[in-house]
Amino acid sequence: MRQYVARRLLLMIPTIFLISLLVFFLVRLIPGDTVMMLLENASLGEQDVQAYRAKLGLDRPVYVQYGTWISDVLRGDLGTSLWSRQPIVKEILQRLPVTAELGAVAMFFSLLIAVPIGVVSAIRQDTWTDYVSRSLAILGLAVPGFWLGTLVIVLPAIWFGWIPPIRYTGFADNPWRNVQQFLIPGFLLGLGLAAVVMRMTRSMMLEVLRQDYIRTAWSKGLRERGVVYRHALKNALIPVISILGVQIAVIAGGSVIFEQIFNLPGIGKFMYRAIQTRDYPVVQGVNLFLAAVIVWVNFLVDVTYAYLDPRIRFR
Amino acid sequence: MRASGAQERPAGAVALLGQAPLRGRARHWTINVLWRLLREKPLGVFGGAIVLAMIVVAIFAPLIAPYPANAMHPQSSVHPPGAQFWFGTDQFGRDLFSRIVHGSRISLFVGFVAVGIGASAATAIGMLSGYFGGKLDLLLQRAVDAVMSFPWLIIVMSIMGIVGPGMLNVAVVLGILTTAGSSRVIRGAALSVKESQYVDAARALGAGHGRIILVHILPNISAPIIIIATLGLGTAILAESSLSFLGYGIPQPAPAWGSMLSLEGRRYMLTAPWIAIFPGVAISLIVFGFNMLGDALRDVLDPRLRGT
Repeated sequence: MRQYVARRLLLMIPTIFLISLLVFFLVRLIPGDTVMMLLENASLGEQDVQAYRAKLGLDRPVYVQYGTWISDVLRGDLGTSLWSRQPIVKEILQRLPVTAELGAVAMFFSLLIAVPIGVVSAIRQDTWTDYVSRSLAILGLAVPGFWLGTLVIVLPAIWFGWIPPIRYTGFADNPWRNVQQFLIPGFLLGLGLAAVVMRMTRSMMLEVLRQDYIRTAWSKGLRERGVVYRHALKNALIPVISILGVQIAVIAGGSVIFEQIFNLPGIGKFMYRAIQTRDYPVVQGVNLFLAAVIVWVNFLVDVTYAYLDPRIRFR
Repeated sequence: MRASGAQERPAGAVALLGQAPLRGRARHWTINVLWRLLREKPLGVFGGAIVLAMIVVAIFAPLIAPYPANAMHPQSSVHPPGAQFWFGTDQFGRDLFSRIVHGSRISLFVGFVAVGIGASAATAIGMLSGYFGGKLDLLLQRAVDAVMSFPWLIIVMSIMGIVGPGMLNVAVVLGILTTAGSSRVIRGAALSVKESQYVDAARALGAGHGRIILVHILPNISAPIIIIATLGLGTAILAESSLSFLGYGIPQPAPAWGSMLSLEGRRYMLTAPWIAIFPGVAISLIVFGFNMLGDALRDVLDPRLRGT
């Protein structure tokens, strides 16, 4: 196990290095003069261009610029927002709880919906229940989340004169109101995640249900509930955790849409505004932060998976 | 010394190296796949019918749509659906049905260009990585890991914020970013084909790397390429509509389905819900069609890819 963890950690180093290169060159995709573009929205005069260029280190060779930037990043300094003049790390940490809460609610709903449907779909394979569940899962992947979000705001307003809460209330101010605010966006984001979890649960259940120990459980005369829940589901759900890393990426992407629609002050909304105002250090910082989180979650998922299923370690 | 050159090969080598009547075999294979789809996968055929209908609508859009996409009827703004305007009109009095019909061209253009770029690049990277292995594979796979670590919507939005909105920009950026995930599936397929006896045979007969890759590996990994492309079309169309909704995809007044639902129009939607309903139905329908077809093709062509 220790060897596996070490190997997995070693593989993370080049990945993180490449991520940092991609993020570093992302801002250098800007056509024309980066500094002029940056100053355009920072309400500074043109006379500051040279000084600003020197301040940002843009007058030095690219590899020196990268070296300085990465050494700052490694010390936990992602730079300063051009808009708020605040350290980007501080800005991210302020907004992280909102996005994390949205993600947690979405995960909760996705598991609540997907696991039972996936199990029933597998037990009743190739019946109408299975066809309907699978079609629903494909539909869940096809329906755009931003459309559902729009409909949830528009239709109840027309039919019942009711609009979901869109003024943000902090958890410390009013916990119940805060949770209420996350229920609808969390549910809608969870629907998209549920489609993937449902398909995974179904295929894993089908695989496990064909194993010898399940046949043994049936032949012992156990009831369906016992076989399915006590023997099959536990093992079928292990691989489902392997998609957690992918789910975090989907949540981070979805946060841009749902935080925008439901006016939640999380990382997604922060990012949307940063791109709109061309706050490039924030764009760089948030991308790097999210990619690093996803790499780390993937590592934890792989290690947990290897711990739960020893076959992985020896592959 | 390595034997090379057609003259030195035994007679059977020509057929082994893939110069048999490939076109006839390909036609037979296509008919077989279509027949199995029709017989075994009714839902996939349904998806295929949706896709085909959308392609026909896109091709004949100017003939099907009663009005040009941006024609305004100021006297009929936010007009409810009816005989004159089937899906109603928006705040500028533009016919929603006509806009949706014309918008199908944008969605399909972005989808096909993105998938064209993504699938070609993924095939090249996946095949090189899988076939050569070693350090090249290690390096390419770490690069794939790196790209796949970004939340796609955020990174696409960031890039679009920098390069600027536009139909071709969206298609190219989506194509490049979908390359990573797809290349991993192609790599897996190339790895298993590489170990086949016919590849060993070709190598023994003196075929070079280029020939083995193009003549022996590529045709035998066409199944995952077709599946990835079909499912990728739905994903690209969904991604474009999300970007357009957020204002980073196709700029107004182009009739992109996502931008028809953008936040700016929300206050009109509160009195005219049809503005919010029909573009979303169109997006869901086409993505559903591609996903259903892709799923069915996967089951028919390569059931091992389930869950990818």
